[in-house]
Amino acid sequence: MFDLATRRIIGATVLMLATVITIGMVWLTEEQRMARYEAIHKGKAIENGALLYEQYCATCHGPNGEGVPGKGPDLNPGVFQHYEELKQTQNYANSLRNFIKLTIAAGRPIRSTYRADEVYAEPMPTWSQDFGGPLRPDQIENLVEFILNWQAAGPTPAPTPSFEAVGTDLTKPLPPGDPKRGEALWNQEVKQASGAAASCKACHSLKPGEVIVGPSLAGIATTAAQRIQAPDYKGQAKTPEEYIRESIQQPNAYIVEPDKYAAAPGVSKMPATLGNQMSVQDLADLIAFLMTLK
Amino acid sequence: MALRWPEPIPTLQKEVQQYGWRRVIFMHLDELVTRVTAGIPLTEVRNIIRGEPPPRPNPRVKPHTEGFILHIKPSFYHEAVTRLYPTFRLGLLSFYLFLIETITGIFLMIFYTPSPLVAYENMLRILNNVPFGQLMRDVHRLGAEAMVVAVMLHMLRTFFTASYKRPRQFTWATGVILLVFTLFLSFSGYLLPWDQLSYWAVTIGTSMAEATPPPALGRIVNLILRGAPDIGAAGLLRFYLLHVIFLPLLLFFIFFVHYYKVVRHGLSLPPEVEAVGDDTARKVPPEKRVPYIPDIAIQEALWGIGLIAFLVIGAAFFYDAPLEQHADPLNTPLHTTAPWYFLWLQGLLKDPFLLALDRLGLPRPPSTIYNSKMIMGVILPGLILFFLLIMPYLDFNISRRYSHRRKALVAGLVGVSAWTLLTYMGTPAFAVTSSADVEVLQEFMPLNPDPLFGEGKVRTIPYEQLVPGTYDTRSLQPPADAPRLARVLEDLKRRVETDPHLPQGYAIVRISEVQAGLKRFEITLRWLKLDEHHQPVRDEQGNPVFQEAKRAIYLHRDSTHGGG
Repeated sequence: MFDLATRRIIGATVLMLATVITIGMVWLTEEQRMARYEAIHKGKAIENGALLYEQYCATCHGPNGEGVPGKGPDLNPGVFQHYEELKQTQNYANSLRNFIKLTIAAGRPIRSTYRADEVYAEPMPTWSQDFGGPLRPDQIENLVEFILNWQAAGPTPAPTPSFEAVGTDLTKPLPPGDPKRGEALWNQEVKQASGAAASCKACHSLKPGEVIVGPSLAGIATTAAQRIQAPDYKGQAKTPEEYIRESIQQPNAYIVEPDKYAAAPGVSKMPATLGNQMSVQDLADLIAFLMTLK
Repeated sequence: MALRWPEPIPTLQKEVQQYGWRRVIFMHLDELVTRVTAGIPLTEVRNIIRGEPPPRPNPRVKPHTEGFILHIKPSFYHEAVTRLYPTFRLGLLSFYLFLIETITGIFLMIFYTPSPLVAYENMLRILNNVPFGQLMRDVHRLGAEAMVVAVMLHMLRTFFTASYKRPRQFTWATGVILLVFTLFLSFSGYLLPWDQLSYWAVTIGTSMAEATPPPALGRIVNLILRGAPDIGAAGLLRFYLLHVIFLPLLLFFIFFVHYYKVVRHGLSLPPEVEAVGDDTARKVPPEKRVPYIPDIAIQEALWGIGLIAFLVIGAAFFYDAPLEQHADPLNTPLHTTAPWYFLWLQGLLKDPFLLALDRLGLPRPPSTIYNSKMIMGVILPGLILFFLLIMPYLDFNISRRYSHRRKALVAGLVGVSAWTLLTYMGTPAFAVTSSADVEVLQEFMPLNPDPLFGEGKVRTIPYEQLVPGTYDTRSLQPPADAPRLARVLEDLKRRVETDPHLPQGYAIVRISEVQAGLKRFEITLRWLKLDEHHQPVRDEQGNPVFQEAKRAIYLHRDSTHGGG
């Protein structure tokens, strides 16, 4: 249709238009992009600051800035309150950001009036490399972003409960149990120390009289109530719930029919480590489920 | 029709009286165009656009004799080199890329100070606060990678079409120097962002300098290059000056030597159009001539525009130059690599010779005799470079025909394969061993973006799906409304449970919200401690002892990982 030179010129024109359109699109969205990048990099600065805080600051000021008695005062909300105080009573004229930055970088050469009623072993050391500390200027900036974020981001959320294995402690208070979740745990396979995956039901049948490895748990709620009355019972349980709890956390406390269910004298076939794999909630749910088996 | 200026004193008024205003405007326009184009009058421009043949004498060659820019360009090409094969325009593209790098580089220089105190901050400013800053940086970086590729391919092309042979041996040698300069130009720019990626890549890349024999010289070379035993403020300034002045100027100078030789000998024809042993590039018969203006000029303009379109569209939509955390000399990222074009060196430094000895069960030679770093890091690369430089002078086969160069072509392919293999060996995928727990943590949440795992799977979870709580891989019950979290936890479970080095391994994941918009993600790995007989170690109660490894990262709502 066209000769070679014309085709080349058309091609070049199309490519040039595409380039110009692309640059135009970048131009139109550049303001938003820059704002987005600013937010991204601020977010990353806060993340870095949080890691640094955990590494360098939390030992004295607490993981959530709540302070550690005898070591360091609280920062959240202490640092913000203290700044307001200084501004009002001392005509302190620097910005909050600089106040925090200076305190971290240069430390506290003399004791401040902040939490004057408390006694701390050491004054705040210098942290910036400029003053002989370990941190680079950008790391100080990141820390400042993290600390400012306590106020800027709004109220600090309630601390997240963390997993805590019940272990062999029978005195730990249990939350209310959920029998449905307990039943799910009953069926769930959990890896054992021996390497084999096992569940409660792998060893305990729920059919009356059936013995797989351990005794059948059909009607365990009723059985448990009888067991604690039995003359040879030497555990500490006073209620059926406590009996079940003891059997799970400390299986060696009382072994029913030792010739049948003991692996060695005084050692039950039931693993003694189950408590390490359960939270208090897991245990409560499991007991709630077993208590439904009347 | 020749136009004459009116005598004796031309004034605009007299001209208009004599010729009429239309003619006067045309005369002045013609004058302007002739001067701007260094010799092509307006009428001839019209003829060119209309596609008419040039008159005799040909005014279209005037810019080649009168003008500066085109005086180095031939006024006509042999028809056989105007197609894609055999040149693939790789030399032209390399030159264009050099120009684009210069322009975008000057833009970036405006906003950059070569000091460890502010360099990284400057990078953030270029990205966050300079309009078109990111586009310019991305084009600069993409162009740098493209330039390395173009120059490398250009060399391979020259080898495979045997264009390096007599009389072009010297052209080849200058080309090898240009390749080295291009690599070092790209490499010296690598350090400037002063992030973890650049800092450690350059630390690795310069680590062999110290192995230069003899040791006294090695120390001096290292000091000259880095400005101190380790890279710091002095090293950054040195790399900056290399990058923006020293190497570009040298490269520009050598480029003109190279291009002068190319034109002097003529663009080498495809091997098959010449008789064996002939070089007829300079004796182009009239019917084979393709004039530079307009045909080749249009072609070159098309390539230039195409290249710019590729870079701009690529940088705007498909490519983002990486920027990692601030450089931290105290924290070495796990899988540190050199830039991709130096991975072959990193592969050599892993020493295939010693690895082969190990594989064969033979003893390693003592390091007093066989200094691996010196031989693989300095002597061997030096020999390879020296061989590349003098290779054309050693090639006594006068034929350029492919069928007469079987050995050379096979050698070339073997060279390319070896390079590829060594490049693979340079990646962390090959023979990098760290403990299994560290590898798992690296795979799921590296502290710095990892060449193998990117930002890690944890950072792919949307912020909302990071539901606070404790998750145990032995009894996984992830929340139903967090499918991505569930996927990552499932992956973690599989990874930990199937790793042979983590017997009975499991992981506990704790997610907690520490500030509004900031969550902490912690992975604790536990696995059975084994003694030297691979039996579980037991405590006094006879319970197996577990080992533990822990790592936590923080995730902010706004720092869209992977998308930023």
